[in-house]
Amino acid sequence: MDIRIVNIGEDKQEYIEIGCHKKDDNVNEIISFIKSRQGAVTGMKDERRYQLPVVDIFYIESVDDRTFIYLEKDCYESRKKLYEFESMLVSRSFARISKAVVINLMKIVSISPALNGRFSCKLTNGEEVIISRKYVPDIKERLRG
Amino acid sequence: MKERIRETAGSFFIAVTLINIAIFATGTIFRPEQRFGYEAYLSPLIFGLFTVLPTAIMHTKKELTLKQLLVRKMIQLVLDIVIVISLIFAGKEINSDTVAAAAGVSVSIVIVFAAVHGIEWLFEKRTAKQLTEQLAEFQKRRANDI
Repeated sequence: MDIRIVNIGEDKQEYIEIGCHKKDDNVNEIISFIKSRQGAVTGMKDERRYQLPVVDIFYIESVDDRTFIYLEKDCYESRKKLYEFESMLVSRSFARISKAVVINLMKIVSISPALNGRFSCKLTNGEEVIISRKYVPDIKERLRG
Repeated sequence: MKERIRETAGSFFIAVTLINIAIFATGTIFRPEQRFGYEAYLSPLIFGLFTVLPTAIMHTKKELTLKQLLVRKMIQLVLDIVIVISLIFAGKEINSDTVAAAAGVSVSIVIVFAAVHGIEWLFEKRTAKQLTEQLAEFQKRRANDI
C-alpha cells in the first residue's frame, strides 16, 4: 500500500484520505485507530466492552441513574455518571443541553423552537433532542466562545 | 431567575400591546359611545399585569411533557378570563348586554392569549436561527482547530 503525505497550507483544514478498492476490515481498523487518536471512552453492550471514539458520540443521556452513550445507530451503556462525561468532554465540543443530556455540538445540523421556551436540535443522523430553556443561555455563551 | 424575569417581562409587554388593540376592538363594537379620562391608559397595564400573574405563579423549573404543558396553558387561559371578567364586570348588574360584552371580552382574551404565544414563538424562531448560525460558525472553528 502506498502512503502519501502532502503538505498543505496553514489556512486549510488537515485531513486523512484513504484510497481503497473496498471498505473492508483493514480499512475499518485504520479508521478506528485514527479516531481513537482523538480520544475514546469505554462503553458496554451485550456484556462486551467497546472503545468508542469521542468524535463518533452523538450524545450521552442519563436515564434512571444509568448512563447511555448514543452513536449514529448504536447505544452503549457506561458506568460513568453524566457529570463526569460533562467535565471530561467539555473541551471536546460537548455541552450540557438538559438535566439528562450532554451533546456533541459537532453533530447538530440545526436548531428549531420547541414549545415553552425550549429548543429542539436535529442531529446528523436525523434524531431530534430537546434543549432545556435553562441551558439555552449557557449554549449561546459556549457557541460564541 | 434572570431568564425567568426576562421571559415574564417579554410576555407582559406583548400582552399590554395586544390588550390595547383588543380594548379598541371590543370597545368599538360594544360601547362606541363610551369616553374615558387619562386613567384609561393604565387599564392595559393593569390587565397585562393580572394576566401575566398566573403565568408567573405557575412557572415551573420541571421539564413538562406536551400534555402537561397544554393542560397548564389551558388553566392559565381560564384564569386569565376569570380575572379580567371579574375586574371589568364585578358589581355590575347581569343582563343580556353584560353577558354579550363578557363573551366578547372572553373571545378577545383567547385571541390575545394565542397571539402572545404566537409572537413569542416567532421570537424563539429567530433565536433558533441565530443559534443555528452560531453553531455553524462554532463547528467551522472547531474543525479548523482539530
